[in-house]
Amino acid sequence: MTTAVTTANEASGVGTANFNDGDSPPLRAVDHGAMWVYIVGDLFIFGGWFVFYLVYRASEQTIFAESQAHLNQTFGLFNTIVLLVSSWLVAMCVNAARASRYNEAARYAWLTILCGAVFAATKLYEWRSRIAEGRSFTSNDFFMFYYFLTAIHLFHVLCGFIVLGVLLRNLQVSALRAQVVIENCAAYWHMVDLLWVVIFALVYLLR
Amino acid sequence: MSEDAAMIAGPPPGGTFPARLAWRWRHHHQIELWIVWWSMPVFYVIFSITYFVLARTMPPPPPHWNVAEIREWIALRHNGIDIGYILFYLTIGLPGWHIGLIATLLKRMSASPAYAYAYIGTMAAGTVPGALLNGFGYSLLALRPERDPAALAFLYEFANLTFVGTMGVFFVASFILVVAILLDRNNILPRWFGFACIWNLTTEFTVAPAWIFRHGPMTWTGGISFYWNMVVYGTWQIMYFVVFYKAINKIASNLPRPQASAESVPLNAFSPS
Repeated sequence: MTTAVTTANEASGVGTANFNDGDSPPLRAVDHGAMWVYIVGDLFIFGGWFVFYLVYRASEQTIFAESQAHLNQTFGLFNTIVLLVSSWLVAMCVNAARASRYNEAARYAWLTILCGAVFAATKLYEWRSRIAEGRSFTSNDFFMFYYFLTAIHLFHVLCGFIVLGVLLRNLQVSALRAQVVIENCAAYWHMVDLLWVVIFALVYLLR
Repeated sequence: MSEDAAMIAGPPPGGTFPARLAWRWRHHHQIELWIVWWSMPVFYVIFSITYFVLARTMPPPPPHWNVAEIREWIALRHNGIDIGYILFYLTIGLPGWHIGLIATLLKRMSASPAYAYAYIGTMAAGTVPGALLNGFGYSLLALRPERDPAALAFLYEFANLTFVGTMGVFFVASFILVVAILLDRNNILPRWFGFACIWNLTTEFTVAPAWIFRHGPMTWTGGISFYWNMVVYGTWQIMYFVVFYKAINKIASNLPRPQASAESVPLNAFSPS
């Protein structure tokens, strides 16, 4: 079997291409549907975690209310504003790219990355403050959810830096430029923003 | 397909049945391909029968049980654990066969062949704690349930945590699939499946807290670390089978198919459709 597959591989030339090969075919057309499979699925997964949060909150209302009072809502609001601004910036980036103003689009993308970095730094500072107060991941179920949801969201923000890097590369290298890739990257960042808005409402605000 | 391609004749006329069967085995590559492919579904069926029907070790029991509760749990499953895990150990090698086939597909991608080897390595690393050590723990519990209570509690936690708590290995395996598929220019696997692998990758994160908690949704049998994870994993696994089945089918349809008659088929009918 192995011989047959290898022979098939060699005979067809498939699989012999090198990823650094200058003669490689251009990146295949990226369909919108592919990224949306991820976005819809990720929203579904987070939706499940939000349901678990609400179920545990309903059974431990006192602990959740007391613990929530120790969160700094100003930090949460600041984070929300930063991400909403970043969403606006990435939308402006897409608009500029559509109008072939790629340098302007790249500036918007860099500003979006800056907002993401501010968000991440604020979040780390907030965690440090909570831990210094003695409220850690294992303190109670509220803080377990708080650290879990904010950490997995922060992981998405960090992945967003890679996604925005792909977007920047698309803007800066004309051979790679594809509007659909730029829009897919922007859609990912909007998802990160949307998830934070729900986390902020559930964890910081919901009484 | 070239006109002057080398040809394979059918089995020699007038041969005995074993001779014709042997000829077909040597030349009919689809048979080998599909045997390797079906090794994985067969393994999953055996896995499910062992864990859910015979041993009934899935879903996992709670992490906060005392020794008396653990002993009672084992007593109810003693014979099932013995029979189920013996069956499981006999077939534990089957996924290796199948993963070799998946690695062959990864090597056909335009991304570096290193992804194929890395996938084999991570899947092998995942099998040791996630299947073997887990099974050993349950088998040892069933072998001598009257053993020292501390040892019994240790084996109980060891068996359950090695299954759920080491899913992080598959985080890396999923990451390898994601990168290889998204970089691929040969359209070996659909791009949407690369994005779907990120779901699996995300949920593999959530099993890590199983090492910390004994109560709540993050334990080895918790709603988030186990049940919700299984919903996402199960959905992804169905996609995995469908996507890889189609990819393998594409290869199989391009392999030479010996004719029953004296007609011949091209040897180099390998080009992708």
